[in-house]
Amino acid sequence: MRARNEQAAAEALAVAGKTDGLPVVVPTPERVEEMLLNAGNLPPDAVLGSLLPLGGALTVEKAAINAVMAGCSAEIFPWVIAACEAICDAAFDIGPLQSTTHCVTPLVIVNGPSRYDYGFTSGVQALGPGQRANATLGRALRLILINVGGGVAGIGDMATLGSPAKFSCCLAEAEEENPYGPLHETLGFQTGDDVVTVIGVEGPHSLLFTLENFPGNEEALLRVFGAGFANPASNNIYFGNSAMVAVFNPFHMRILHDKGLSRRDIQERLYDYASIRRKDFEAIVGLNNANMSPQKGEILRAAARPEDFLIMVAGQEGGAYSVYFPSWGGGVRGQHAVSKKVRLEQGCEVPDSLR
Amino acid sequence: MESDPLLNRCPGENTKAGDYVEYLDPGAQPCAPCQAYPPRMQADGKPLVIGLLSNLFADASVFLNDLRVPLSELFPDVEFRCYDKGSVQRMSFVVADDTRDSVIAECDGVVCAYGHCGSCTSGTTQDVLAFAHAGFPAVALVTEKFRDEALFLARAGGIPDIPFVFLPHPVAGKPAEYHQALARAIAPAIVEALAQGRVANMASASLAVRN
Repeated sequence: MRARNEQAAAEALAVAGKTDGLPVVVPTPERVEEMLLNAGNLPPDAVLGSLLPLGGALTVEKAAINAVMAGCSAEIFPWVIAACEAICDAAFDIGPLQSTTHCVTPLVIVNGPSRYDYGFTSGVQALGPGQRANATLGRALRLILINVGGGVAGIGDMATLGSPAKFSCCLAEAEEENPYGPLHETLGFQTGDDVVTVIGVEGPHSLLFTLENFPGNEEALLRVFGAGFANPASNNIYFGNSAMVAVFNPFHMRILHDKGLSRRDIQERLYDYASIRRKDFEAIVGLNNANMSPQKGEILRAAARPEDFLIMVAGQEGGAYSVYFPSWGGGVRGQHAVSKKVRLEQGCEVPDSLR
Repeated sequence: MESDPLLNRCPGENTKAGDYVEYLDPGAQPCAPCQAYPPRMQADGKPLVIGLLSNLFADASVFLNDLRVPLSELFPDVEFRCYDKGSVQRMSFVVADDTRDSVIAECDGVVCAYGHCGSCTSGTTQDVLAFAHAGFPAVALVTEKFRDEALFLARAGGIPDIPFVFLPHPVAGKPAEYHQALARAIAPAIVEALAQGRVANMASASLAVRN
């Protein structure tokens, strides 16, 4: 495609509905070529999968074009490829996620020893502005969902309101602050692996919990998390079939560890606390979606199993806030994490931080 | 920073022949090749069996049931068989193979209802695509709010002209009298879709009810 200049090219992409509404870097052949240098031994026409609802083939080249548009540095392209492989995995069920009126979007979690070398961050504002690697990896995925998957607003993406998280939703884990080991280890990978995990979630919800120490504070913290996950305004308590993500800040995680809880203890308590008695639930919601819930019995639970609570650590030291991500619950299987190993050894460029 | 006179030129400025920026298309085309929609329900003088496939969205089964009377008036000797997608969790997915095969084995055509949200419109459209790919007559009921999505999905699925009957939005939560009136208004369009494989005026029936 041709345009009179870069401004005209960027405008043409926006008018054609091929952006997320924000300005993009124009994907010139030279920039895409540079991105492709980091694809390792994957040729540009290698197909990573297809994406519904359009059913377009996601080639390595299409991933590179969209990564350029998102503003990715070329060196993080192996992480983009891993994220692409994850959303193309049949277990991720991308079709319903794209089409639903819910605001669900892929959360991208970056793990592994190389993550900081590539600029990913897990600390202050990990989910917010100013973190280029986090922001652009998440944005690349959104542009791919629009351009290759057909997730265009009002046609292939029917979200009632959408969410700012749909522009980008990506963070690294503060693995060194997680006394139970990094998230990807619990998902079947080696600690030394570099891994991208995706899961369909709502945007981040803030959780306030005191920094003071008091008897029973570990149980109180987990009850607050549980009440958040079981919130009748979110879907999980209706469907009870999906994974969710609890992002503890380092201080909150130490409360749990110092009181002798294991990761499994945390998950089991969240499973117990993320629940509500049916009569209390119905007193709140009335007949709202009563015919939608497949749950039986007197206790409604946000999750089907303790292991559906993904436990990780991120955020600034010293704040009283953690974050939790409810999910959508639609689809046959609900939402669950899909992880892919990053093939850095096949990349061609050494990140700036290691030069 | 050194400026590039070509790249920094404002829109509307004159450009010399050959001055341009080349860039690559980020988009993809649907993998499914386009094909025509051929199935037609054949009466042949024998009693017809019409399947009513509910995705279990709110009031979908109720509304399908309301179609029995007006369709019976248009198709003498018609029989109906009810199916559903098993659970609300499946509404955003294509109908299960065994259900699809049962419908094809036991019926002459099927009404799929309904597309009433983003993901269930996707599921309902995929249902009709699945029947169409099997050469079986089917029609999708979708509310007008999701018309653009349904038409897009039909194209992406390789059969752009699968028949839709569009309904005013919402249908769920409306009184029984409204459902019955709407069912009567759209019954001719359903007959047209099943018998002729198309709906000439997809908006007319629903507008009549809305007004």
